[in-house]
Amino acid sequence: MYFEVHNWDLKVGNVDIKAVSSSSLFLVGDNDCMQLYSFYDTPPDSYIVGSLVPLSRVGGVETANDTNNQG
Amino acid sequence: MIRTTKVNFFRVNSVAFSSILEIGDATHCYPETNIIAVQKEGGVESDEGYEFDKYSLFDKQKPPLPPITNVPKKTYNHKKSLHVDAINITGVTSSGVVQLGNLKNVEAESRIKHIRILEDEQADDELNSIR
Repeated sequence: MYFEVHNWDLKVGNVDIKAVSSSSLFLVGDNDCMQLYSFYDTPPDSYIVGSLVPLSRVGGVETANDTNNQG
Repeated sequence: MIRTTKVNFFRVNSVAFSSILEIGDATHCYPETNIIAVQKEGGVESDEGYEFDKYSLFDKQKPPLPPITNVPKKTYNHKKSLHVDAINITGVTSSGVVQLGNLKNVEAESRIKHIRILEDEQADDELNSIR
């Protein structure tokens, strides 16, 4: 395979950018090789607040494990 | 032939945290950023206890890229410049790069660890009454 590029006129009107952040790149020009890596960690657990409503029945606790043991 | 970038109007409001605003050509650019963002209910008093080496995210290996297939490439620039009428950028931050001009190789990396510390929503006795 042979790759041939012909660059003719390039005219851009208006570019409006709010932010270029975290190793991001805004390039007006020619480039050969570009590698952009991003590692992001926002675990959902960090949003969940501790106390959960218990799912067991009021009075007696009967779980799948318990019934298995009886049988 | 190398192309020249021509920009009529260029406005950047702010450049912060090791960001680069470059006018002209460059061959290499390797920006990197490591961030631990701590949001704590009631406010954060100190950055102690949030060291980078405590979190595996910062020493994780980069996933390997697919092997490079060697394709011979030839670029013909028929015009000696490219034009942009106006560029408006509010902010460049955290090793961000804005460049007017040619840049041969870029390898950028960012690692962001978010931590949220929330106060208990329900008091313990309140929880017991549900049980």
